[in-house]
Amino acid sequence: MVEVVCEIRFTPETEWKPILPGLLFPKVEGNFPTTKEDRPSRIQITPREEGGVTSKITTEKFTVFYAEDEKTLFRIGPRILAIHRLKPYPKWEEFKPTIGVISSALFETIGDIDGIQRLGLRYVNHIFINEESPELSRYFKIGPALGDELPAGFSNFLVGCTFPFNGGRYACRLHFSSLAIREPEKKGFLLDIDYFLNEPKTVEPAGIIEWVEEGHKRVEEIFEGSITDELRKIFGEVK
Amino acid sequence: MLLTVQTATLDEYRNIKPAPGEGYNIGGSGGVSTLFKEFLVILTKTEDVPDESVEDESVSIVWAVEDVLEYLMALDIRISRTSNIRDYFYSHIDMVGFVKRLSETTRDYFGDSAVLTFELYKDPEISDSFFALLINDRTEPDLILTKIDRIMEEYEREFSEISGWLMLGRDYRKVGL
Repeated sequence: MVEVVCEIRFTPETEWKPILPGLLFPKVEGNFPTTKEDRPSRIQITPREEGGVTSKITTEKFTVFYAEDEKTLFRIGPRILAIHRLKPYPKWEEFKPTIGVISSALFETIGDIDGIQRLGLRYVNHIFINEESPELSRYFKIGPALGDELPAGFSNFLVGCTFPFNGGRYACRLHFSSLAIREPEKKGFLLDIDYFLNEPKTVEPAGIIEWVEEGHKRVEEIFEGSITDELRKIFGEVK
Repeated sequence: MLLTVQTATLDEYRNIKPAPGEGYNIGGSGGVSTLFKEFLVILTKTEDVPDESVEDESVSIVWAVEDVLEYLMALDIRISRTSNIRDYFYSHIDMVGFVKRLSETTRDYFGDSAVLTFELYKDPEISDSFFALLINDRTEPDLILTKIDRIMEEYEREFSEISGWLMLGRDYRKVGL
């Protein structure tokens, strides 16, 4: 596990003051003493009627709050809170309270919240196998299904699917691919599981912890369902 | 809703001209995902993306870092010791966009024939680390430092704002090593 992200996006009607990160800082300073600024760019592409496309590049300002070890951090941008934990991942029971503490502090700072547009709990796993060309089915229960007429060998792949839950109100996207950037003498894979709220305003701010707890169980089931015992032998499991 | 999947080369991507407009998102978790030196551009149907559209996935730092590494590959920049590079990015996520822009500019200045290498340099004496983007240009070796100076001027403000360190310099090693 290289990253877990819990992301909360608020509805456009939720008032968002640029000063929010500054107001929040004293409430979290004890655990998150360092802040940095991040300005990620976003590209939007629009097709032209006469053909081709045009694009618009926008930059949004995020404030990033780091814990002392710089492995736990959270980012605040326009109507977005994203809490990240990078490797080494502690147990879920240790990460979950962090979500509660930070989100509560932010909710209190915002005051009047119109609603939650999207909630996400995402686990990104890098899996390395010390073989040049490992047989996928030996380690994974997900992979590309290739017909007999296709060449037997391939160097890279990407597969994925989305599982609906609770009548489509929630969903979980599973992404499995080879890592394009390779490590010497081993093959890398990316197993990415993103559980999210598919219908805005169907979870209240007070219900977030319950929602992520349920989400964590679903993510765990999908992770376990994606790998074989052979792979479990290779790495020490951390849930 | 997925409408079209198109691939575009790096040059085609660069030729996309900024202009006002809303409606299409580029797929891939950090924005543009590069696969095998080609861009995989996923366009979503315009009516389905309102002005205040919500990204359909949680933003991942790991994906953003993978994207920049793949972008460097697409620029034909050699990358060594990727594990260390990833870890440094994780501690300085504001450098993701910066490295992307700087690398593209550097490739533009030196052209396709120059050998560019991106690595994490660890100074054993002061136990400090920093990124290094190194240039080996055998076609115009006398101009290397002049071009580096110009790039440094162009990015002077950003160099002073990023949280980590990056050295842009000449690579005196033999190409191929």
